[in-house]
Amino acid sequence: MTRLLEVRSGAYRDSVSLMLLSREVAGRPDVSNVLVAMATDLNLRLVRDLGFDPPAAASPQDMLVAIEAEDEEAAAAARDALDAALQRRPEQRSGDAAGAGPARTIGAAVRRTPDATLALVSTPGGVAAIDAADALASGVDVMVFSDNVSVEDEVTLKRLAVADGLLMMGPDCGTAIVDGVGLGFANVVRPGPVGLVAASGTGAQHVMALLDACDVGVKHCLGVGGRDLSEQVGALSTFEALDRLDADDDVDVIALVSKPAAPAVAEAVSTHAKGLSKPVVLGYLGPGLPDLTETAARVCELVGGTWSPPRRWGAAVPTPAAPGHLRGLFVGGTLCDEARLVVAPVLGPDLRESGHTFVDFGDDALTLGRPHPMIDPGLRLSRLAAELADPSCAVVLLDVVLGLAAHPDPAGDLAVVIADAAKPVLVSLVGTRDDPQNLAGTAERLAEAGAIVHTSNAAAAREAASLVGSGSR
Amino acid sequence: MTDRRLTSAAHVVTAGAALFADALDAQVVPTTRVDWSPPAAGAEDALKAVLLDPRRGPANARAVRQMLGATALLTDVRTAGEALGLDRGHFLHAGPPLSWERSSGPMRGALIGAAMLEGLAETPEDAERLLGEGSLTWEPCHHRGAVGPMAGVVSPSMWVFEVTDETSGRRSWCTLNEGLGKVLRYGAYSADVLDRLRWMGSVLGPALQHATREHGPVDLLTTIAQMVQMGDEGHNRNRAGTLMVLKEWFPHLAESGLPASDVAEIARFVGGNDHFFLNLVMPACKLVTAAGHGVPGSTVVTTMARNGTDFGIRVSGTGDEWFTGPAQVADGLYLGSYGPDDANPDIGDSAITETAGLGGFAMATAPAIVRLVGGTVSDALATTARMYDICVGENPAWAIPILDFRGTPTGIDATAVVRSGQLPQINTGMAGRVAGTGQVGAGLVTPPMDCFVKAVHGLAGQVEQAELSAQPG
Amino acid sequence: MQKVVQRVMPRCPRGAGASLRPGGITLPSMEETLAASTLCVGVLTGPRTSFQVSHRGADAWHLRAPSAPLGVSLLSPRAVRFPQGLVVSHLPTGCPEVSAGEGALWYDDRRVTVSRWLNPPNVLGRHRHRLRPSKGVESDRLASKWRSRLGRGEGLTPYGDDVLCGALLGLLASGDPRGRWLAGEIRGTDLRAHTTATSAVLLRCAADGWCLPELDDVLQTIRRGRPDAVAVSRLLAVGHSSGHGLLTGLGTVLDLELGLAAA
Repeated sequence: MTRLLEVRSGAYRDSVSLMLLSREVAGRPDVSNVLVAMATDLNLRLVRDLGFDPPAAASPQDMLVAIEAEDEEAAAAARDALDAALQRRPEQRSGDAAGAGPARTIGAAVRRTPDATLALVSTPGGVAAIDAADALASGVDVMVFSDNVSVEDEVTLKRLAVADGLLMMGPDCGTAIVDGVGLGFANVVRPGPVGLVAASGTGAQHVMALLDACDVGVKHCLGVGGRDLSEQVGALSTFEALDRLDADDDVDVIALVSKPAAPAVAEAVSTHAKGLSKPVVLGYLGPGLPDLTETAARVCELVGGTWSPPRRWGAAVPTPAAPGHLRGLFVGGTLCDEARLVVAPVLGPDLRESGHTFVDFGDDALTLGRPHPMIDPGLRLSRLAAELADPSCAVVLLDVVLGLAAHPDPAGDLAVVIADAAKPVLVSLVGTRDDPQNLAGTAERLAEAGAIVHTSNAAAAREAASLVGSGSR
Repeated sequence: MTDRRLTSAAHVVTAGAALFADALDAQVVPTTRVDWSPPAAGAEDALKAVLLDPRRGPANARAVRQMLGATALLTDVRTAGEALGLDRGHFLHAGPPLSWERSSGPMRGALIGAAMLEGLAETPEDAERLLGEGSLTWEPCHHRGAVGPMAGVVSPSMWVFEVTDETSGRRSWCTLNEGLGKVLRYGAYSADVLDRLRWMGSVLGPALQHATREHGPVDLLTTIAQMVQMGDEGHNRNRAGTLMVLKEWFPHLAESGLPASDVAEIARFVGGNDHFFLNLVMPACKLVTAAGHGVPGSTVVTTMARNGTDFGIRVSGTGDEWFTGPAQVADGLYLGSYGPDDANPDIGDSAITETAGLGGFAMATAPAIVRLVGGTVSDALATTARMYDICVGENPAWAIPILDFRGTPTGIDATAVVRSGQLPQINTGMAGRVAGTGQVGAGLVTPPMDCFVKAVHGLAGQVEQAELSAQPG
Repeated sequence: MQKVVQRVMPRCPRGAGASLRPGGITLPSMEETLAASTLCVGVLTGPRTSFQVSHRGADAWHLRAPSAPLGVSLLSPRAVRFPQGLVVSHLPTGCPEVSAGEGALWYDDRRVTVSRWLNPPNVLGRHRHRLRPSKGVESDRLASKWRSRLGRGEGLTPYGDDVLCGALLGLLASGDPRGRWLAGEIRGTDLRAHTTATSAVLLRCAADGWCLPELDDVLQTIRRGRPDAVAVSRLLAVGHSSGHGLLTGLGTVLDLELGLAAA
C-alpha cells in the first residue's frame, strides 16, 4: 500500500470539477482512495481521515492531491492520469466559436473541430506551404493539391511531417483516397484490400479504375506528389505512406505507382518495402517496365481477384488512317507519359523527331490562368478540332478521366467534335462503375460518335500506334 | 509493428478551391471550410520562413508550458526606489521607449505630476522644462520587469506591489491603483491628484506592507482563477479580485495598531475602487508572460504595451526587440460630455493582461461589462472564441464557466495574427488627449497589424541566423 | 426534377495566382449523392425494388423489402451509423415512395447516386484469440434466456435488446460457440413481432456480425490491452442508453475491465 500526497499551489479548480476528477481517477485499477480537492478545513479533515498527513501550511488556495494505491507504480499512474485529466479540454463546448465567424486559418479550423484528421490545401502555390505548415503544426495529415511549391519547401514540410508522424500528400497531389473518401480528382471506388501509394495522380486513378472493373476494392490511395521519389525529397512521404498501409489491418496488398525513382531512392524504397509485412508491388512506369494495366493485373492477382481484361468499345475494324502522324492530347500527365512509352517501340524512340506529338494539357505551363482541363475541357477541345482538320495528323489519341470534381459530362462536347472526324480517334477512358459521369454511358456515347474507346490507356496507345500509317500499308 | 496513426478523412478541413470542398459535401463527409485569404502583402516570405522553421512547434509549446508553469505571489509592498533601485530624477513609463517630443498629452501630464510629486519641480511649467531639456530621464517599465497601467509612470517615492514567481525567482512590480477619474496614470496632475498620491505614500503603502508581510504571500494566480469564475476578466473588471484581496488584508489591517480612521479610510479606498486589483493582475500577468519569453524559435507574443503614441510588442523568439506601430484610439463609451475627439490613442502596459490570456481574451466570462464597452453578451462570447484562433494554448487554471470551463486562450501566436488578419482584442480605459485631463472613457481597441508584420520579419531574421549558425564549419 | 447547380469556380484550382473566367463557369447539373454501406451494393445495383418504411425518425428511416434481409437504413449525417446505412446530406421531406436499384436510390423519381462507399465493421473473426469469453453464470443465462429480454425496455431500441445485441456481438467476436447458436436463433425469429423496427435492424445485423463503429472501436482497443476510456465514452454516448446496454452486454460475455462503475 502506497500513499501519495501533493499540495499544489496556484492550481485552483472549482469543487465540482475536482469531485468529478477524483471519481474518475478512483476508478483506476489498483487505486483504493483518491481525494483531489482544494485544501479547505473540511477537505483537510477528510484527507486526514483517509490516513494522510497534510502539511499545516496548506491553505484553501492550494490543491490537495491524495492517492492511496496498491504500489508506487499504480499511484504514479493515477497521478499521471489526474494530470492528463486536469489538462483535458472539456468535451462539450456549447459556447465555442459562438458568432466568431468562420475560421480563417487551418490551425483555427482544426482547433475548433477536434474530430478533424486531415486538411486539404489548394491555395495558390506561392503561399500553399504556409497553409500546409499550419496544418502539420495543428497535428493533422495534409494533402497539398497546389503546385508551384518549391522543392526546398517540400523537403522542409515533409521533414516536419515525418517528425510528428504525420502524412504529407503532395504538393501537386491531384488524387487521394483516404479510407474511402475521395480528395481532389478522385474516382468512386469500393473499399477493399488494396492500398496504393501514388507519386502520380492519373496513374493511380487508372490502376484503381482497372481494379474496380475486376471488383477489387481500394481502401486508401495515398498521394505523395510527383517529386517524392526524387533524390532531393528522398521518398519521405512514400515511406510514411507505406508504413501507414502496412499498419492498416484492412490492407492486404500495397502498390506504388510512380515514374521511375532516382536510383538511390529506388533502392531505399525497395529495401523499405521488403521490411514490410505485406506484399508490395513497385509499379514504376518507364521503358522496359510494366505499364499501368500490367501493374493493375499484378495487384489483382496478388489479392486473389479475377482479372477481367480491359474493355474496348467501337468499330472492330477502325477506319484506316491516312499517312501522317499521331497526336496525343492528354489531360492526365502520367497517362500521357505512359502512352509515349507504349508507342515508342512502334513509332521510333524519338517521337518528336518523327513528327508524332504528345501534349499534356494538365501541365503547369498550360494551366496558368485557367482551370485544370479535367474541369474545363475548352482548350483541348479546340486543339482537337484543329488536329482533326490538320492533314498531317493521321490518328488522335485522347484520355478522358472521370470522377469526383472532374467535369460532369466530359463526353458531351467531345462526342460532337469526334462525330465529324474523318480519321481514327482513340480514347483512353479512366473511370469506375460508380463514377458520377457513368463509365459505360460515356464510353457508348463516344463510340457512337465514332471513337474507339479503351479502359486501358496502354491498349489505346498500342492500337493508335498500330493505326499510324495503316492506310498506306 | 508500430502503432501508427489511423489514416482517416473522418472530418476534413479545406482551404482553397471550393470545388474540392463541394466534392467532399457530395460524399457526405463532414467538412470545415476555411475562410481563406492571402496573408498580409509583403509578409509571405517571412511567414513561410517562420512557419517552416522546425523549432517553432516545440518552442511555442515550451513557451506556453513555461507560462502556465509560472506562479505569482504577492510577497511585499515597498517603495519603487527600494524595490526597483530607481534613482531620483529617473522614471519608468508604460509602453515601448519614447522621447519627450513624441510623448502624448497624458504621458506628459503623468511625467509632470511625477516630477512634482518627487519635489523635482514646483510648478507644471518647471517640470515640463526639466523634462523637455533632458535633465530628467525615463525608460519603459518593461525594461525593469515592471508594468504600469495607462501612462504607467513610476517615480522612486511611489509604493509598488512586489510579486514573485517562485518557479523562476523572477519578480515584477506595479504601483498601487489610484482609483478612477482624475488620476496621475490618466495624465492628471492637479493638487488633489498629488495629495492622493502623498496619502498613498504615507498611509496606504506602509499599511499594505504591514498587512502583506503579516499575512504572508498571497497567491494571485489562484485569486485570478476565482475572479474569472466570478465575472471579472481582469482588465476592465476587477471587482471580485479587489474584494478578495481586501478580505486577505483586512484582519491584519485591523490588528495593525493603525488608527481606526486610517483603517476605515484604507478599506473605503480599496473597496470603493473596482480597479484596485488590476495593479496586482498586471504584475502577475507580467510574470506569466516573462516565463514564456526568450525561447529561441517561439512566435508567442510576450509583451503588448502602449505609450500613448506607439503600440509595441515583443515576441519570445526575438528577445527584447520592440516591434511598434501607431497606437489606435479605442472604440467605446465616454464619460460625461467627452467624445472621440477628446480621447488619446491607446496607452498603458495593461495589455499585459490580454498577453497572458485575460482582459479581452477572457471577455466571455465578463458579460456584465460588455455594455460598458458597447457590446452584447454574444459579442463577448464571440470575442473569446476568436482569440482561441490566434493562440497557441489554453490556460486550464483560468476556466470560463459559460464555455463549459474551457481555459482562457493563452499565448498569442504572432504568425497566426498575420495570417488570419485577426488582431488581439484589448479592453481598455481611455485617457484624455490633453495633459491633465484624466480618464475620458473605456472601450475596445486592437493593436496595429504593422507591429505583428514587423515581428514576423524579425522572427524570419532569427530563423536565417539559426540556419547560418547550424551550417557546419 | 433536374437541379441546376451554379458554381462560382475556384480562384486557383491549379497554378499560382491563376484566375478563372470572370464570373465563373456553369457546370451542367449534378445529381444528388449519398454515401452507402457496402452491405447495400446488392440493393443499389440490382433491379429496382420498392421499399416499405418501417420507421421514420428525425435522423434515420428504416426501410424493408422482402429481397433485403437486413433492410436499408436511410441516415442523416448525424445519425448512428447503422451497418446497412445510406447516408444522405438531408433526409427526404414529405413521404416519398422510396425504391432502390439500377445504381441508385430513388425518392419518387429523384435519383440519388453513390459518391462514396463505406465498409461497416464486422466482428467475425477479427478479434478472436484476443478476447476472453467470460465464465460467469450471467453470460450463460443471457444467452439461454435471450428471448425473455427481447423488446424489454423503453425507446427506439429497448434496453434489453441493446444488452442482447452487445452480448451477441461479444460472443461472435470471441468465437464462443454460443454466439453461432444465438445468431441462428435470432435469424430465425420474426423480430418485428417482438420489438421495435430500429432494434430489429440492429439485432438482425448483429446476427451476421455487423456492428456500430463505436462498438467496434471498443473491441479494437481491447485487443491492445484494456478498453480505451475515449472509445468507451463514445460508445456510451450512443443513443439514450443504447451504448450502455451494448457495453453491458459485451461486458457480460467477455472478461473485461470496463470500469463501468465510473460511467
